[in-house]
Amino acid sequence: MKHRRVVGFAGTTIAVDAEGPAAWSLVQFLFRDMAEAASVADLSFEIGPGSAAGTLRLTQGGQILNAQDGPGAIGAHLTSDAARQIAERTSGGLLLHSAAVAWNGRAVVLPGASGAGKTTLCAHLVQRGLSYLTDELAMMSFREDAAATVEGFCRPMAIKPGAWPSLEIDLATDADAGDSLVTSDGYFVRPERLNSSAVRTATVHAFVFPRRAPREAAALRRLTKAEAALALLANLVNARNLPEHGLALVTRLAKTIPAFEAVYTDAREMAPAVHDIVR
Amino acid sequence: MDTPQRPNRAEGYNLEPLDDELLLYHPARTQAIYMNATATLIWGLCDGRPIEAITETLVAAYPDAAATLPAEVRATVEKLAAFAAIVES
Repeated sequence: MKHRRVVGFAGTTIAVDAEGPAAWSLVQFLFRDMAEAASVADLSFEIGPGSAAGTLRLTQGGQILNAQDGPGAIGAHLTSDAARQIAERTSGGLLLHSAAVAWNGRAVVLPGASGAGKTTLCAHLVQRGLSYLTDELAMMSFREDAAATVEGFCRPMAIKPGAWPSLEIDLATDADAGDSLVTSDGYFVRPERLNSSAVRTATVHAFVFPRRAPREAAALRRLTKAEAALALLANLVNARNLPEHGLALVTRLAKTIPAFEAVYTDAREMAPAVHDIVR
Repeated sequence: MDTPQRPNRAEGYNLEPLDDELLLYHPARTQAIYMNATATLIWGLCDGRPIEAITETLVAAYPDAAATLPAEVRATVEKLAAFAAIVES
């Protein structure tokens, strides 16, 4: 039995064909919150049974990408490859390596390099009731009324083991409950597991650049516009596709959206201050 | 790297003023440099004049900072030279 799910993000459509119940269950888990798109796909992936019991096979255009891992690792491979290919082709706005959450339609965008702590801070904000947009890619664009909006690449949060204790959830004992999934280096966790939900877009209210700093007291520092622009440029993943490498759009965002640096040891201590920005 | 003694602004940088600060961006190098207010002033004075003249100009304008400006000018010129954003005249 084959199923197909086609979703859209940042102007790119992604189709995933699933063969078998395990593959289809994974696709539904990964893309439940992403917008349905037309059936003509820019990127096409296929998932089917793997060579060993409990494994799946991920292919793209017939080329095998992974044929030996379980659903969680296959899901991580698929979303990672899709995100990279989206970044390579997106030209309709600024695409940031970033997490994002929203409160009553107002988004806090959390750009940061891998390991900066954006997913952990994002998870704590979701746990406080903020809506989840993404922990990986945020598409920034401007509406006709000049307000900046963010669209999230709304895969489940990829939470690493180090974040579990502070979240105070026991993922290990209920990984099969439907809202979480074991990956090779942690868990995919849907926002429902943290008692919240997902939204696809929101109006950008603030940028917060997370920086984990062991043994430093939690502090939120307002960035100057030039500091914000530099930090945004550092997290821009589609600069090569944009006129002047996106500089005009970046400076427009830096001039109009307040930006902060969040320095903390424990994301749990920083989350209330970030929440207050949009409350 | 030796500190340029007559620093001059390199070509190819886009200047993005943001309040009293500046972002220098070089499209070909995909390189951005953050400039605070003081560094922005120093950059503006890098026109081939001696580094001592840059310091003297700034000390005359900001006498309260006379003690720290020489080191700040030198550090900024060295930072910009490391990015190849200024060159020796």
